[in-house]
Amino acid sequence: MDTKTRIIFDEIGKDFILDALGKSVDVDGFIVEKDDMSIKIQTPEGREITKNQLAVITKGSQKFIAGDLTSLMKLSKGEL
Amino acid sequence: MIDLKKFKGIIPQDEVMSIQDYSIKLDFLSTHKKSYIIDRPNKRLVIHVNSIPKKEQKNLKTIISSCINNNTAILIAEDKVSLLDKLYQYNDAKDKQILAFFQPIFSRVDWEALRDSLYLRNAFKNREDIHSLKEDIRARYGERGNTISNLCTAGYFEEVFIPLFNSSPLQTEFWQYYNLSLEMGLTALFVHAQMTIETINSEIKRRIELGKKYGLKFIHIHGIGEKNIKNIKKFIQQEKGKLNFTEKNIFTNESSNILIVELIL
Repeated sequence: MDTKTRIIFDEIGKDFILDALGKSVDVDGFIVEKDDMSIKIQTPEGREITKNQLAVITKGSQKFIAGDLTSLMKLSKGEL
Repeated sequence: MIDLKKFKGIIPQDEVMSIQDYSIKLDFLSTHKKSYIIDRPNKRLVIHVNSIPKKEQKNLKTIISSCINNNTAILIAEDKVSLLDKLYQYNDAKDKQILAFFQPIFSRVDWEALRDSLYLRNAFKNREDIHSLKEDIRARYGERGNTISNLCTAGYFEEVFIPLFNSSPLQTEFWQYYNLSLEMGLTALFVHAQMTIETINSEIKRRIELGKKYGLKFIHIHGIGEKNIKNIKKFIQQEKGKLNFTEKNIFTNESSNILIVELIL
């Protein structure tokens, strides 16, 4: 179990969170760098990720992790 | 952990000491006048983001950013908290044995699909809603993953694949059966509610014909629900003479409406 403080957000709060981390959302719903919207953010598995898919953000280098079973399974096993 | 003293503009410092190990919920819907509440039963500090001044909202963003960057916090979508907690706690010894057996055998992708499927099976046994888990497996691994999930839930990996692997010295028979099961979906049909009677009939016929061609001795038909079971039984009565097979009930549970039939080819 992760011992870091959990900050829990809901769907409405995603824009606030992304803005806090210097990210934005492009017209297709993908999370991108706020300063350069041509740069899409990737998950640790190298997949582009949409705002809808976003479930977890962790670690120093800002890992954006989707909320599907495989992604969360890997996170729980320390594989991401 | 975050030092909650950082939230001094939102929560009085004398409140902070007793809640250092609490999680923080960012509430964007509440129109509550108070900027926070302490939810002691759930060990949560709830921050009403819209009730705090703009300056403090900006400060909150800075805190979030620095906490992620220095690795003292993890941000989690509320609708995934429960699943993530269950995954952290998931520690089934039997499932671990199955995964350890197949790890050196399967491709990484099949193995991960099996791992997810074993978790799904556990959730199913615990009577949890597995709809979204099943969708996740299908979305990530396609029809092959869906087949792995169905076979896993029905116990094929420990009851069929492991014994077959262990009894097949060169594993030729195992790989043939495994590939027929996964790539062609021949060894079993899982009838679901969205299948019409025409689809059920054509899917069973396809398996019987190809099964005979590839030398399978039997196939299994799994049905859950009164309508599905009725359709499976109707097909068997109508077609067993024409398609030359016999049937054997492997499992029936009338109260739960579950049927598994073996069609001997």
